[in-house]
Formats: sequence, C-alpha cells, structure tokens
Amino acid sequence: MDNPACSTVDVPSIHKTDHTNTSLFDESELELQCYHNEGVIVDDEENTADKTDADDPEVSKLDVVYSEAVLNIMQSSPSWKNKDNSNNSINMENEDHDNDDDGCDTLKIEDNCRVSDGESCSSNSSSCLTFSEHYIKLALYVLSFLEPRDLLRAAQTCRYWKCLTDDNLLWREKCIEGGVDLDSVSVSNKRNKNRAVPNTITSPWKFCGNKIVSGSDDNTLKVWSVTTGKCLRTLIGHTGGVWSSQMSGNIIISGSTDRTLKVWNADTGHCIHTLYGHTSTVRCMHLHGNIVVSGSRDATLRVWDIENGVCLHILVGHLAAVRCVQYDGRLVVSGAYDYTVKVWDPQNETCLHTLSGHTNRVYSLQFDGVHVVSGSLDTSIKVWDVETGTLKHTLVGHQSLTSGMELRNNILVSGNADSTVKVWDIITGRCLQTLSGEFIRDLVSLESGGSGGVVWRIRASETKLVCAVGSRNGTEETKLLVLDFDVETK
Amino acid sequence: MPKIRLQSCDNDIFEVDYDVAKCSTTIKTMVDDLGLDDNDDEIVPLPNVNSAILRKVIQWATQHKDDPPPPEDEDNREKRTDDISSWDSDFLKVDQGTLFELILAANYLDIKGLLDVTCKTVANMIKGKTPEEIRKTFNIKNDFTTEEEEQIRRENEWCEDK
Repeated sequence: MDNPACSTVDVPSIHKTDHTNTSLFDESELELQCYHNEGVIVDDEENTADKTDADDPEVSKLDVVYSEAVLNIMQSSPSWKNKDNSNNSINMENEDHDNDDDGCDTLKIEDNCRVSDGESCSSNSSSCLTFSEHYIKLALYVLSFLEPRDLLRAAQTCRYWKCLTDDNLLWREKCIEGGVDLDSVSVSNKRNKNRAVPNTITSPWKFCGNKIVSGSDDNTLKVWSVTTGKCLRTLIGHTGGVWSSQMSGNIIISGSTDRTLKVWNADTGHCIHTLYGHTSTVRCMHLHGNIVVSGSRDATLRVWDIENGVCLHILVGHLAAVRCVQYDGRLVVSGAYDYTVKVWDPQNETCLHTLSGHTNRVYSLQFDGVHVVSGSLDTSIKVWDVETGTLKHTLVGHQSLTSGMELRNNILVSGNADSTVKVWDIITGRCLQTLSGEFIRDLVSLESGGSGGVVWRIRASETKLVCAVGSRNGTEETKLLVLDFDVETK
Repeated sequence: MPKIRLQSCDNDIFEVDYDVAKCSTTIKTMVDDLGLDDNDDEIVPLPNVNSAILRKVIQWATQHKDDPPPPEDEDNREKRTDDISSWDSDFLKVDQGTLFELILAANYLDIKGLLDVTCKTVANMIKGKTPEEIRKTFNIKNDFTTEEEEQIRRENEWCEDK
C-alpha cells in the first residue's frame, strides 16, 4: 500500500465534431424510429362511426369525442407514414382497416423500420406509453409554432404534454428563433458552466479484467490496458459527449449527449448497434446480462436488448432528468432530478413505487434486490424497502451531495462532497465510521490541486485504483492514473 | 387534362384533375413511379382517408393547386401562425375531430401546405391561453399531483410576464 506503482496514460484530445442537427421531419430519423403500433385506421373508423351515427341530443358527447380526437394527436400511437408511402398504400388492401394486425404487419415489412416489441405499445395508465416516435413528430410540429411562453403553459396541462414540450430539438429551434447563438454554447457547458475544456472525462468509466473504458466529452470512448497503460482502442461514432458507459466482457455500451446508446465490440472497436429513442442526453445506464436499462435527461428510461439492438420497454413517469439507475434483472430502480426514486416492473412498464422524501435531486443509487439506497443533493441518504416502497432509514450526517456509494452485505460506504467518507449499517441505519482527516491518506495528490487540477472520478477493482484527472483551466493534463496495489505480490 | 381516380377507405371514388392530386407528394410519387395512362382504369386506393376528409382535402387542393412550391430551407424561417389566408381560415372552421383527421390526412398524403395550415390552426388554439384554458379547449385531464403541478409551475414561470 505504501508505494503503489503509478503509470500515467494520456488521453489525447480529438477534434470535437458538431452535433447532428436533425429537423423535426428528418426522413432518415423517421426510418429508424418507426414503432409498432395499434391501428390508427380502426380508431379513425370508430370516430367516423360516432360522427355519422350520432343524433342531435348527443352533441355534447360528440364534442368530447372530437376533443379527444385532437388530443389524440398528442397522445396516441398511430403511425403509418413510412419511408415509401406508395408501397405502403398499395400493399394495404381496403379491407385492412378492419383489422389492426394487418396495419401493423404493413409496418413490420418495412425493411428500414425498427419495430419495437409489441408489448411496449400495450395501453397503460399513462398515455405516454402508447406513443410512436412518428406520431410525436406531428404533435411536436404543432408545438413548433408556439412561442416559449405558450410552450411552458402547455407543459403545465398534463404529464403527456409536459413530456412533449421537454423536447430538446424543439427548444433548440426556439433558441435559434430567439437569436441565441448555439455555436457559442456547447451542449455540455450549457448544462455546466464550469465545463469549458472539451476533452474532460465525463462518464462513469468501467473496469473489466485488465481493461478500462473511459468516455469523454470529445465524443469518443477509449479502451485502455491496465498493465501497459496503452490505449488499445478509440471508439469513434458518437456525435456528442459520452456521459455514461457499461462494460461486460468484450462488450461496451455507451450513452451520449447525441441521445443514442451504442453497443461496441471492445476487441475490434466496431459499433455493433446504435440504439435510437431517447430525446435527450443518455445520462446513466445499468447492464444486466443482455439487457441494459438507460436513463435520460428526457425523463424516461428505456430497456434495451443489446444483442438484437431493440428497445424492449419504455418507462415513463419521472418529471425531470433521470440521473441514476440500477437493474437486477427483475426490477429497475431509478433516481431523478424530480427528487424521487422510482421502482419499476420493466416487463409491464409499470411504476411499482414512487419513493418520495428527498428534498433535492437524487444523484446516486445502490440496489441489492431488497434495499434501495439513494443519495441526494439534500445531503441525506435514504434506505427503502423495495417490496413495500417504505422508507426504512434516513442516514443523516453528511454536509453535501453524496455522489458515490457502494453497498455490500448491508454495509454502505458513501463518498460525499463534504470531503468525508462514511460507513453505515443500513439495517440499523447507524453511521459506523466517518473517515476524514487522519483516516484519509492522499493516494493521489495533484500539484495543480490548488490551481484547477481535479480528480474527476475514481474507480477501483480489488487491487487497482484508477483516477481520471484533469482540469477546467488547462493546468492539469487530462489523463488516467492507475494505482496498482498488487505489485509486490506478483 | 389527365384525371386520376382516388378511392377513399369507405370505397367512394373521386375523379380528380392530376394537377390537383399532385399537391399530394404521396400521390405524385406514386403516379410518377407507376406512370399514368389516360385510358388507364387504375384506381389509387387511399386506405387511411375517409370520404368526408378526402372531399375536404380535394377542396383544399383545388383552391391551392397553383400555389408556388413551399420553400425548401424552412428550418431558419420564423414560425408564424398569423399568416393563414382568409380562405383557409374559413375552410378550417370545422370541429376538432375533422381538424385532427385533416392533419393526419395531410401528413399521410404529404401535402405540406395543408399540414402547415392545420397545425398552425391547432397552435392558435393553444396560444395565449392559461394551462386551465388549454385543458378545457382540448378536454385534457390534469393528471399532475398538486405538488407536481406546483413544481412545474415554478419551473416554468421564468417565461411569464411579470
């Protein structure tokens, strides 16, 4: 422990490419984001039938039907405008409108269509769950004619409209209309004014065997050898900063401000799948087997099959950015900027519990199948029972944000921005240790410490510690420090 | 003048001048791809549009058949909703259900001008209204909890005139 070998790897900066600007009716995006739907034609038929059959006394009822119909454009799922309209129309027999399955089949045979699991369309309490990307585009097109003030008022009508009006591209358009110079405001420092240096390491990067993967604001990921300190691969393809990643074996999954996830082969550096669907930055993810659950600033979570590259489920309910997520193969637990933690059954796309009690944003989560532990900017850590959704303990004592936690056998270690580490017993809710002052010895101390140099993030395996360091003002080069505590015994 | 026959989902057949029908990019592409003979008995099926709506669409297209094509680079164009012509404005004095179906039809048939004017009309129904008035207009159920509603109101109040 006294003398850890320290090797340094440099993270070269890569020219930052512009974000892709897709317009609302971007055809290429349409092709990729068609969803399996319930039949619009049937819906239309019903509306039409109502209209023609109704007598005068039913006028008031009719109005409701019509109102709902217009609301539908901002709520429900129909989508039949595919890349090739002519093919579509000709393939569809006139009788098809009696049968929504046929309508769906017409969608399925489109080569370029990514068709999601039919289950995700099954109706749920929230109409958000039945949307198609394409249908949303029509609603967004209506909204694009509104001024910011009207948009914000529309956001206050109901959850679904809130969801719609949070669209990034819509606001991008409003910024351009309003004369806001977007070129001078990069996506990352719009969110965080301090993050002026583009090539900072941002994502929770991962250890796997002798490899480390790091994601960066320069839009790339890098795979490093722990033993040689050399960069093995640079994964290029994202068009925005990489803010989250997961690694398992030779598979890497990354989430980006470009709103996509990518699945990579770490050995070849090839991108296997690009997962489209989120409408804002993919901020967190958790991989379990072949299933990855991603959380986004668009306030939704998506469940993906990384082998086939399809979106299996969408979890809608949070009111603000999803900041952290855990998945144990059965339940999804998510923490968000709406101050809540939610427990989800991903199969049925239902929210089982909303754990409310935090009075500020939730930043970190641990989940062992029984307990949910959430760390928040309100300085507290809360322990919840996942089955009942009840609060077991509130762990108080920290002075600031708990940004990182590890839970093992009911012992929780929390790292806090108040510069202490605390050790807790989550069964009793008692703090066992507070590590600060003499208990902490500097393993890494940057000369530039007082003048801008910072340790962005650390990650440890049994014997190694990796620190991503850099600075906001250029006094410290962006790099990874690897401390190997196993050198003596090798 | 060449004619084209369109069939609605409820099996009514409309004979339309090609000049009118080609307002629809969907139909135009179809005809361009397949070729159009004067003595052709081919009928273009439009399984997503019913007779009442198709009649309205044809009425609109007839009025607008000589319009110049819409500008391509619309992204940087300011989005206005006060530029609806009086003919269109009268034409769109319909119930919400019809308006909704016209949007879907305009989108399906790819008639940019009609899509724009119908979407603008819906936007105008939202403009200047309070959240409660918007809910009333579109019969929206408020599914926020009181706390959520208050939180969103606070988050969004930066844009309100004080």
